[in-house]
Amino acid sequence: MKLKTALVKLWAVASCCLTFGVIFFLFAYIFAKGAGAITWEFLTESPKGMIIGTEGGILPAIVGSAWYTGIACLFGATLGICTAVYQVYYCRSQRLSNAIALVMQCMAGVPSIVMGLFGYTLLVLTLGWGKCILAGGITQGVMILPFIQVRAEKALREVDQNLVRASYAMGMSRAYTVRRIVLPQCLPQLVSGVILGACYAMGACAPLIFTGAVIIAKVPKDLMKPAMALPYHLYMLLTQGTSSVNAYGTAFVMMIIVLVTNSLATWFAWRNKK
Amino acid sequence: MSDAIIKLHDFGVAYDQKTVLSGVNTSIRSGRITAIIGPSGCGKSTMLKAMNRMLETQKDAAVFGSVLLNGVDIHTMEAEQLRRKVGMVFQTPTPFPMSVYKNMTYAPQYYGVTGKQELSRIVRENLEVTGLWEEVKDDLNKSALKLSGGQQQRLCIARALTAQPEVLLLDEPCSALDVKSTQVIEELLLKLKETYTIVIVTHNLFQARRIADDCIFMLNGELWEQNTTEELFANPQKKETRDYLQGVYA
Ligand SMILES: Nc1ncnc2c1ncn2[C@@H]1O[C@H](COP(=O)(O)OP(=O)(O)OP(=O)(O)O)[C@@H](O)[C@H]1O
Ligand SMILES: [Mg+2]
Repeated sequence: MKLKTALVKLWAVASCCLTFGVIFFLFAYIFAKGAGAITWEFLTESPKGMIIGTEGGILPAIVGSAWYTGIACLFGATLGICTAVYQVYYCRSQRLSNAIALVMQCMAGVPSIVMGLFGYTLLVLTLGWGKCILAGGITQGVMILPFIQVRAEKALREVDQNLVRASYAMGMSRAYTVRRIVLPQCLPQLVSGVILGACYAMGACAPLIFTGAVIIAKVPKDLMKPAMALPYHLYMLLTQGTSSVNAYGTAFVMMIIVLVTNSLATWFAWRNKK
Repeated sequence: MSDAIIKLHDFGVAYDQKTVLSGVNTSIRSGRITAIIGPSGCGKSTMLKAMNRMLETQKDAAVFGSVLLNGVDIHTMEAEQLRRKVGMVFQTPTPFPMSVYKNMTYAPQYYGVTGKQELSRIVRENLEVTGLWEEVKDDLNKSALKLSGGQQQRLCIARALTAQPEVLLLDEPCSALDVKSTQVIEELLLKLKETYTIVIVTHNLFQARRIADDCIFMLNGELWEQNTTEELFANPQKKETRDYLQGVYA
């Protein structure tokens, strides 16, 4: 019996170490390899060189990714949070609620490349938008919608129902109660859910391949034009064997963005908990 | 009785097909305090919640018979309209996690009051009625969660009054409070009955005796006996009522 406990403990500790080790190694490796590529020029110039990407920087990709992610968040957060509010505070039928949950699960399970194909057929071809930031952003938005919805739903269900009941008992409508009591209560979780969704969207390349990302473009100014994106740029640099130094540099920038946004989310949640 | 504000006719409630309240016929008289007493689980809270249709927010509850407010069947009214007229205060205080001031302007703002002066007036008047004004007037922006339990409960009563109800339902409002706070709330209720009709569920027979004009004794999901408090305590008509009042069920 004692041996068994000890073994379980060992196994748990070992798994922990392994996980941390992998993450640490990943970050260390990327940082070591990529940090060297980071110069002022790398962050503020467009890709240049005989073979595009060997010289110059990645500014259009950074700005492009910001646009894609911003639109994805706007789209995914609006729909995701509204769906969750509907599910928790409006939907009276258990069946409909289950149906929504099922749809969300299926959506979450759709491979991102298939999402890309969906965006391509609907937005790029059928609606005739062509490859553009808006199409790419919305496709990513659909991808992170279930991601945000699940977290929002959990947060909404955790709101103290006594407060909600007290509000109803004064004759307040559901809409007013949700706006004044429920949403402020779970704002930190909602924000951190959206930020995590943003990280997920920013790192995803597949939805953008058919819908918006291009090998080279200027710093984007028009939502209806295609733009560069960090993960796609990284993918091109590596698969074309253009410049592994710049590829690591790009990866480094992405990791930093993910780290910073994640810390922001954690900090925000923590600050609001106090 | 001509001055009945709420009437229940053959009223009953079932949770998940299980009947917990049946055959209730009663009137609540306006401008008085009515206490509902009875052993735990006899359906006091259920009956109270039926009076402003808060029961509907629980999915599995089914209601039979009718409840009339001023002669109008409450199930023909909008739930929001009804609850504005019939306010409710719960067992544990439920201050909203915001400032005292915002707790007090929460309902008026919903009803479209926007003027700053008008809002301040409503806040002040209702806090004064509940005796909370003197205690919090220096810092209305203080979080309501930082008030003491008794203050929180008085805030909840004041907040319920901002919706300008006719009837106030209270479900064991003092059970989480100490003796002193309980006394303050009892005095408050006695003062409020001049303006509002009050229905209070209580486990505390002394409390019922101290403040209630009328008393309803419930047992096993039925209205067992109802009378003026004085009569009910002095002259219970049924054996079970007498037993309960003498503490057999407690
Ligand atoms: N949501 C619910 N689902 C199923 N049964 C319920 C529910 N709420 C209450 N009941 C049952 O209904 C009966 C009456 O409950 P109620 O809460 O009205 O009693 P009460 O008189 O207020 O008791 P107490 O004095 O303990 O508060 C009890 O038997 C209880 O088990
Ligand atoms: Mg009860």
